Amino acid sequence: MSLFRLVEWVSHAVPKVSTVLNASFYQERDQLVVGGEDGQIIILDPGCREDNNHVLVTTQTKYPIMEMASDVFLSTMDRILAVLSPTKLTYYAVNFGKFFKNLLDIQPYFITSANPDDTHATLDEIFCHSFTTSAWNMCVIPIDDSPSQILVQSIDCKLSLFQGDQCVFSLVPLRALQPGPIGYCQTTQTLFVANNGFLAAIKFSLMSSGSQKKINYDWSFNLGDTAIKMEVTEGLKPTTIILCRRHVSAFNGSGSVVWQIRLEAVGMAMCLYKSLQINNTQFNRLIIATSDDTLLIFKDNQLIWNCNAQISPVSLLVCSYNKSYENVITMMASSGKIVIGYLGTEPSLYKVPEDKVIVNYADRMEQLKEIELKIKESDAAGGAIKRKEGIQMKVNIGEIGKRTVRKHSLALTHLFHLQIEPNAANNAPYCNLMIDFSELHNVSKLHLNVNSECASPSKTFQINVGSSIIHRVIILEIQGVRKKERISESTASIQIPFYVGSKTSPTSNKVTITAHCMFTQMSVTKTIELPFKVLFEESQIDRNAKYKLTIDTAGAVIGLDKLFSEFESENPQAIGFSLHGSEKTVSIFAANKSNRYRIQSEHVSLLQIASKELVKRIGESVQGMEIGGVIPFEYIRETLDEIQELETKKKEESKVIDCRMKEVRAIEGLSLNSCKTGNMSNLTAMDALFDKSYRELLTSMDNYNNFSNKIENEKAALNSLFQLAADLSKLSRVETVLTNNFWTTTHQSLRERLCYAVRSDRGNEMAMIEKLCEHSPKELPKIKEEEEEEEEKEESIAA
Amino acid sequence: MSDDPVIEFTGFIKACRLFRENRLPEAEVVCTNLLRKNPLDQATWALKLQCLSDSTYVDELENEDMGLAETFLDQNVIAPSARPGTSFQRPKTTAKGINPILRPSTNAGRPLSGVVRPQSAFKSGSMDQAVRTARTAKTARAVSSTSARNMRLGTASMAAGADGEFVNLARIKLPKYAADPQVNRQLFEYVFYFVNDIKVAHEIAGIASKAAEFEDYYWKNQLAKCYLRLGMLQDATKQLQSSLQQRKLIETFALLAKTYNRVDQPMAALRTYAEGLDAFSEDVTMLTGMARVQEALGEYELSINFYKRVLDAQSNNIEAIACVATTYYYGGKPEIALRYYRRILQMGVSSPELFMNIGLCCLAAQQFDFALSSIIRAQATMTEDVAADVWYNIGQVMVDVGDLPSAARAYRLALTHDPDHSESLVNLGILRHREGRTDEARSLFGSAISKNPLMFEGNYNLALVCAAQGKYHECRRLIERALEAFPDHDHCKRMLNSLKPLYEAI
Repeated sequence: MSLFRLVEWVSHAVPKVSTVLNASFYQERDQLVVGGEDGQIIILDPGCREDNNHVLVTTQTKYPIMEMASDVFLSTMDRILAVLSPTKLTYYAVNFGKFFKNLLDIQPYFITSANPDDTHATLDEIFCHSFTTSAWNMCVIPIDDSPSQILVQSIDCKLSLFQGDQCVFSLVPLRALQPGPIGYCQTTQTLFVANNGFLAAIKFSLMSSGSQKKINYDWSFNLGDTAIKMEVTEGLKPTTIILCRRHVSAFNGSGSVVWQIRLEAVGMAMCLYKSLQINNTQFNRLIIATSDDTLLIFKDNQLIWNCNAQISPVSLLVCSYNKSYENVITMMASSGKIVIGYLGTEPSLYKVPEDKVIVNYADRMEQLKEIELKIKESDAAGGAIKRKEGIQMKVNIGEIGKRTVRKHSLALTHLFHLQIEPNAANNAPYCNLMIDFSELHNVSKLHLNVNSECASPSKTFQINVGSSIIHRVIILEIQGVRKKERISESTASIQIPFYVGSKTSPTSNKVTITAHCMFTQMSVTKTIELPFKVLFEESQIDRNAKYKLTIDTAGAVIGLDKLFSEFESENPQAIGFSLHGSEKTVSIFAANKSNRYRIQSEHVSLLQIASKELVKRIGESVQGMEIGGVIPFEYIRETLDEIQELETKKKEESKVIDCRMKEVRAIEGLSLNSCKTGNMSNLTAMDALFDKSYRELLTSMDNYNNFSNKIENEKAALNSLFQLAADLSKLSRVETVLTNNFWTTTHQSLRERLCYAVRSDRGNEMAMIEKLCEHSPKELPKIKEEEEEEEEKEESIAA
Repeated sequence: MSDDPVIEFTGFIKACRLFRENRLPEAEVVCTNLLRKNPLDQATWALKLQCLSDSTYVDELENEDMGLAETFLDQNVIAPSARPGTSFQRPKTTAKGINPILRPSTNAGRPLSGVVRPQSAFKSGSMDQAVRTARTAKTARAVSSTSARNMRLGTASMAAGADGEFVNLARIKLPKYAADPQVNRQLFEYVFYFVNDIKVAHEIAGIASKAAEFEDYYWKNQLAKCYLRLGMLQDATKQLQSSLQQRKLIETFALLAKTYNRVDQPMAALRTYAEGLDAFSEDVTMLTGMARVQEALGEYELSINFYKRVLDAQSNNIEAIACVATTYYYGGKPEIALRYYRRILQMGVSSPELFMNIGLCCLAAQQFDFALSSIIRAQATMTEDVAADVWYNIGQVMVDVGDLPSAARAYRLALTHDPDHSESLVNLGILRHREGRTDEARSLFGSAISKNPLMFEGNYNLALVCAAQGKYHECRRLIERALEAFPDHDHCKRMLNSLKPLYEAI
């Protein structure tokens, strides 16, 4: 991260470039030599103002170029380029053409014409050294008053010194697996080798003496990292600066760390530079390039400048190409881009994102509304927005039929997967409910619970979706009937027969089915009403039945034979029904004169189901017909009284049971005592006494159970009446909470329940019930934040 | 020359060059191919190890992520009841210390810093609280222990390789390779950073140290790193001290100071950093370390001075700039803070947090036009993880502007992004209370406290409501908790004093 970026002056794209070198071949200024992996050597002269191409010469060699050096390697020749490739060290002489020869002494400013057709210069091979093992890098060993030597390090860390066309020595001073950078300090005549993360200083004289003894190093240091580049400074305080991947360390002549810089990104290249302007040798000035495209310029370990380079260079040079471009930075990236540039105060290329000062307030308001909606949704879903997944359940009425197999042929039923209804009333037809599931993603097991007053083979079912098999587990008295069906993976279906049970007579034709998935905790509930015919068959009309209900209509009476067309009655005035397998009947009469229907039954619990069916059918045959009825509060009162009476009797009976129990226990105690004492004389009398009181106990228990059953029945009747009241209230557009579920699934007494519903504890039960049927329940006191919010919003809009 | 073979680098040279150019994946591929031809090539093997470990390298000095297990089941703290000012748990009680009103604290109860650091959560409160905090709030803290987490990281990095594990650590001859100075560093780094098997790494470091005749500082430091990861802090200290006797290096000083911080000895850490500074004058690592410790101790003036010295040595240190800016902002000098934040922006960082900070500074410095555009930019660039904070700050701006309905809306938006944003809950509660909806305010304060039990404002505000409603017992409990977070709060103390007679009267 930096404030500024490098200013590009010249850039070249040389694919497959592997190394760059600055060398001065003429005019005391730097030229750039570019070596490629493909063996190409290019000499560029970026300081030449006339030629935009800058290319002086291009030569193709046969070997990939690893490194290059330029120095006085032969006493007879200057301008020699030493090129290191894995197998060869080749010396080239750089010769310039006629054109240049004339210009060599002239200042670069006066170069006026450069003919592009003219070959500016040539590279001529002088001689070469071949290696058996691949070379890795080299360094120039300057020697006072004689040509420089070249020290080449091979990939297996063998060092070979070449002086001109001769090999002085070749030895392995320190074994290492990976070669690293090497450097030479002329002042102390020390060679520095940073192979495999160890920096070692070796006296050069030891190596050049030619002795084959093991060479000891002066000092060594574990860098703890891979060395990438080494720079050695000469002078009074010779310093060795090593760039590693994660830090830069500087060592003095005795091998102690002078300073260290810990890098934030991986170090890529380093370059030591001397500035003529800042003629201070006290500090070492260096440029470090890191992998996050930053150039860091240090004065020792103090960062003095940093800038964005826009590439991460693998090689860095500081060159002076001409007088106006002195000390410019040359960078080479691994992609083949060569950039020559200088540090400037150009701001970093960061661009501020587009500024939208103009606010579209109408848009913003819309956006705000959407967000508000999101908040509300999320509030409703308890913090997280509700997902729209779930099980889809469809419940349909299937076929209606009579039982085909009687109870006694149970053993055969496995084979013919036939409907058996062991708990069905005699001759009662069944109605299959088809339950289809879809979107069962990741659901392997579904539990079905059935709530209905009609009987079914079981009240709980379990569907295995994953195994594509439906298991119907029957938990009631008869076990062991299973039905298997193949189903597709994301859907499932099951058929459940419903019929009039043999034990209890239904007071409602409602069936509620709840499906629940254990793993995802998703559940879905559906309610459906069974067809009337499943519950009732046609029977005798009973005009003298005790309980009556009158339904008024605004229009003319419709014939009952038409209304109940599926029954084979031809009498439009009256029709009678009886519950399957029981004596309970209900009759409906139609009075043409008064536009009324009358429902009559001996059983109060049948009024609701009949009236509901009748109202439904009238509504279906004549749309929008006004229908009304009077809620039979007297029946509710009667039933309530009955229940209260029965409760009292039940209490008395329980007291009787208590007494009888005590009696039986006392007789038991007595007989046990007499057994202990051995006095068995009155055994027969005691036996008779016990027998009598035991019988009495059993009788009273029977009575108790009887009362309990009666209460249950009465309660069912009451619930049915409540539903009837609800139905009739609904006809007069009053919604009441008094439904058939009002007093079920609760341990509260009816009074408590009613007190809660009417929110008062005054008056008796009947008054409360009447009150409930007259008024719809009050709204719960909810916190109505939304409205206020709306107001706020309006205010803000107005503002 | 038409049938001339392609001229290019091949084999090990190519791999080495690629590695040198930091093209690690390509280098690894070349190494893999070479090893397929010659599986016994040690040099290539070592290079591949290096490629793998460098790709997962994390600076061990910055890697201070501590799990809850380490934090709370920690037996290493030397002085459990330290004198004030000598422990991170008990900063100095002088007024310039931690003041939650002047400078907000994080969810873990530490004062807010300019940058998010992994170890911004020292121990405070109980483990139960911390577990809850960590689960509800967005903290960088792992609930499990560090070693378990690193084990997961290790397996994850291994799954990335198609050929499975590169080195079978169970079958390799550890004594042979660990003693070989040519490969042991690479092997160690591979095991430590890539496989994350600290036990084996420790074994390697031990053998290598022995092979170097206990004279190599490097292996002592590596042993210390292993001990640090394993939670054996005494051993780590010993190794580092021995390493320092041999060679004084920045990394060693920093590691030693880190060890002292782990055992809650900030004074010793500061001393170590100072020694490091003596050896390496104006070193950035040492100065940053000192600044962080001083900041954690609540000594903002000292901390800022150290950060300024960091900036003298390394002007592009973003952490230093951000921390200085934060301290100036909370010190009531938003204009100066603004200049620092703008500097970060100019350096090429553009994050929603930065724009929001600039916006807040501008607002505090009365530059409303620029504040608006900065906040809009922050909103445009915000990501889900900072959205709650951005909306919260917008709410603050709205309160400053006086648009309370919009402020409430902004707080609610903050809450939709992060239902656990306790600051928004508190401020929304205050707005509700202002409207006279005391019950709603109470419930909001209550949920803020349950999300962040260490929060001063939530406890204090609920206490005020309780006092107004005559629920003195609850009020007292809350005030006491508020005082735990901010022991010098004058009003809390006065309220507590006025509550006392009520108890004594009974």
